[in-house]
Amino acid sequence: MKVIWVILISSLSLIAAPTLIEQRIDASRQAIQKNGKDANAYNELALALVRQARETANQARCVEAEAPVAESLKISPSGFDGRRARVAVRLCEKRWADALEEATALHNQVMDDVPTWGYIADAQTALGDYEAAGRAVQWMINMRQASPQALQRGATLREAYGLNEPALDWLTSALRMTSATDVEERAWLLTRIAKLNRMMGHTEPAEDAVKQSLTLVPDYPWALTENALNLVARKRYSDAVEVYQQRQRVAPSVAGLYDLGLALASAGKSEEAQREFAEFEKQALRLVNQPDNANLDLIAYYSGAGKNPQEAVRMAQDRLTHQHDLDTLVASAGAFAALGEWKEAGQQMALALKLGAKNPTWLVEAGRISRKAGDDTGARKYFQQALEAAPSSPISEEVIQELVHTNASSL
Amino acid sequence: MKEFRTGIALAAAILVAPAMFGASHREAPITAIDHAADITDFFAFVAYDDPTKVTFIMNVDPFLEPSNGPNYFPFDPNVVYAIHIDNTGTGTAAVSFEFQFTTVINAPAVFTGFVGAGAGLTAPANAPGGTAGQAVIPPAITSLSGAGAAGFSLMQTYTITMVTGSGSSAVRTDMTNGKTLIAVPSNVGPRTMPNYDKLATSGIYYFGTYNDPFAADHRTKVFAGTVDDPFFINLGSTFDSLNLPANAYQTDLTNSLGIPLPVLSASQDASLMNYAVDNVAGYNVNTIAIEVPISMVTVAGQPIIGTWATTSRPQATVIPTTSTQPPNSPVGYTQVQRMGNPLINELIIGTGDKDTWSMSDPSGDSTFANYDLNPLLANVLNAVFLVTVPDPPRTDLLPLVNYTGPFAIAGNTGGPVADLLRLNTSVPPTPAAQRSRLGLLGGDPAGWPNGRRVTDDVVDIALRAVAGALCSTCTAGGAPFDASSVAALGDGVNVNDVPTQETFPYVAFAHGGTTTNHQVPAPASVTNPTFCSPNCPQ
Repeated sequence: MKVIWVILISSLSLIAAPTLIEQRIDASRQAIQKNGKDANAYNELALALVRQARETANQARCVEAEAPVAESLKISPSGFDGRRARVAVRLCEKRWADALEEATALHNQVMDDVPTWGYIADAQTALGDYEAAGRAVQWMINMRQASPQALQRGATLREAYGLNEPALDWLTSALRMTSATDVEERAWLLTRIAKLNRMMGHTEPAEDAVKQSLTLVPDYPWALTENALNLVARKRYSDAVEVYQQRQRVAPSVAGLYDLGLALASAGKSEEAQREFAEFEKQALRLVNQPDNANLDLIAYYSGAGKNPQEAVRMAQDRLTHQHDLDTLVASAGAFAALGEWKEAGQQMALALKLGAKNPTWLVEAGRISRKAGDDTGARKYFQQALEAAPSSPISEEVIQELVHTNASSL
Repeated sequence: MKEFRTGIALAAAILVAPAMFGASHREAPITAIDHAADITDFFAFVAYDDPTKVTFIMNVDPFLEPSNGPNYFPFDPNVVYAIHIDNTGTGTAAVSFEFQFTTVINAPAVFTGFVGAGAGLTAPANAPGGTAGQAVIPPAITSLSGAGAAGFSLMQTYTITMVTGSGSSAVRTDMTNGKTLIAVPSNVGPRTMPNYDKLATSGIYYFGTYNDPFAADHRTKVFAGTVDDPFFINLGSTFDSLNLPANAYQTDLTNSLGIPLPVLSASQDASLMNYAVDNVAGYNVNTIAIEVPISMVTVAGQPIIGTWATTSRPQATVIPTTSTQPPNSPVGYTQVQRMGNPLINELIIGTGDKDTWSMSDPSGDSTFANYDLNPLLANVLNAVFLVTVPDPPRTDLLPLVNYTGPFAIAGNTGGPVADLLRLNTSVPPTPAAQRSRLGLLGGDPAGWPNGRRVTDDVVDIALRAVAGALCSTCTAGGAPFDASSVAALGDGVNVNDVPTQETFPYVAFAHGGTTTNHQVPAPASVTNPTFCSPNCPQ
């Protein structure tokens, strides 16, 4: 008998306590059970599912959130909170234009609503209208100074404009202001802090932030990805493979297959890499016309290992008709570069860097493209900027070699 | 490359900030919290004693309880207080005056901001620690500086910057030109400040014209400090969903539902007495007043100006090129609040838009035009009192928000919809004996909405105007609207609790901390009000 009790108690201790988000989902469902006409409970459920989508890196939760929103709007068709929850769901589903349209309508109805400004900023950022997004976030700050939500969004925009340290400053402030009980939010912020630190070449603070994130939320998919990227940056490809595999076990994703393939290829495991790439391509092609697709990775794949630069260019140009965010511009540049269209690639890269982003990887790529296009002066400028952006980064040695190479070729 | 995407919209969860609701004299949610930047009133009028000059007064920080020591009511050093003038009919500032305050603590070891008694007190023979004979209490405060100011510890000085133009071409001129301007503190009490009126008067500073600060004509005056709040209103009843008290009205009228109608009798309307509680009575407010030559703020041959006040705070910006700031904002600051006409944000703009309204430029007010053209308050008056109100659109209210009607400018089609306090500076001041608290509605051409004087009863004027008193061609339910039917609406509070002044700075000096008296509840009988101001019936 004693043994059974020990086993029971041990197994109970292995059952993780529900997360804050899971608790919110439960509470909302209970409220709905008590009163099926409680529109607010449906809104809360939808918003909690959207949060869970990020917590678990599972986009299916976004689709699941559609039902409670629909129910809320059936009960209260013009309900502001219900419509706002619908915007959150649209953003979760990556339906940027739809989200922006509805958020704008909401804003015109209640101009002071700060969360609506936030949603407008999110949609505008995703679509690549960073100036409009900046204005939206500025209104958030004007109205409710120093809210973590405003600071996070502001940090994203600062990064787009090359203000990496100020972006890190705001993320750190946001983290300080976030409640200790909201562990997923803290883990998310730590992951973002890790990413910025990695980009600036601060590998130890990056690693530290990732560790803290994973301590807060074990196997947090975003932290695992960031951890893997950190390892890739330090050329620890086999370790990166293991982390990407862990990530795929925890939260399988199409994009994750591509990341794993790249890491396998870098680790010299080309056969395994090819298998992952094949699976990635198959699954990505199924999603091509969905809002939540892996098209950016598909463009990158076709520009590289997939060896189909024409298709990469076509996909990139098609994507640019809907959105002109920095990631898309960079992908487009890569596609043109793969096709050997160096001038076009250079122009796309210049557009991507026009706001002032100081991403060393992008700057190095821009430098290489410029050199291929015969613009050594431009190339030198980009390499120099990459060095300034991340002087102690693992990439810096590579950049110095590029500079030497460029200078030699100009002589 | 997915580097950037991790920063984006998956952060779009999902904070639903609770809605916040404010109250009047704290008219928008954000100024209900940020009281130091809350503009309570803004006045503009041709100077009573000199028709070649115009006076601007902005009051901030409402409901200052006179006894509330030890620090009383400093201006916020982080706020830029500003007055703006549009003299081109475009709704944009051509001239602005910016005021900024600096706090100086002269006696940091003393526990109160202001202390003094007689000629000063020394430690008596039985003083602890062998300090007998040492000075303990300084002499009473009789001066803002120098001798007589030893006990004036918490002092604020201020600067005035005149700004002409806006944006990168703005020209900024320091009007103080080395002069030290000291804000007048609140009236602590007779022991500490035995001759407060004299002390306060010494806070009026004189300048020459802006380009010659030391010119002998002293054409510019300025004053800043704590004063009596000149606003008067039955505030509690008004915001209790217009639950105006029946015993305030001699007309004794009710509607078909038995609800008393807030209609003043002819004698009540003509009197300068109060028949209901003035909830602002006995409170102080911080004021900034400046009087300048009209020629300094107008263009030749065009006497009409539009004016408004703003408060701004330093603000973090997302990225340097992103600006949401009105063009007249000081660089690096964000506007917290603005005021042109009284009661617009309080009674016209919806709560969900008040903060955006407060922080935006008046030249963009077409965004809020629907509030002006179809004021909900009219519907409320109709619903509560069953009074007939005009059909929308309320074009009769347009002169409040553009240059039409009495504020028409030759060659100007009205300018943008913009909440500015418009003033025709060519209209001379009305002598005191002929002044009407009802301004233009009372046949007084120098009262609101032609500028605003401290004695204008803006509550009664606004009630009547919103109910249709300015209508000449309005309809109600398709039939011609009778403006006279709403000509006597009022809240029963006709006058300030204390007399205002006839000379600069026009507001009464501060209530004393030891004689605080907020008015008692409503009178027992309207024929014999138990309180009245300033002249009680005999």
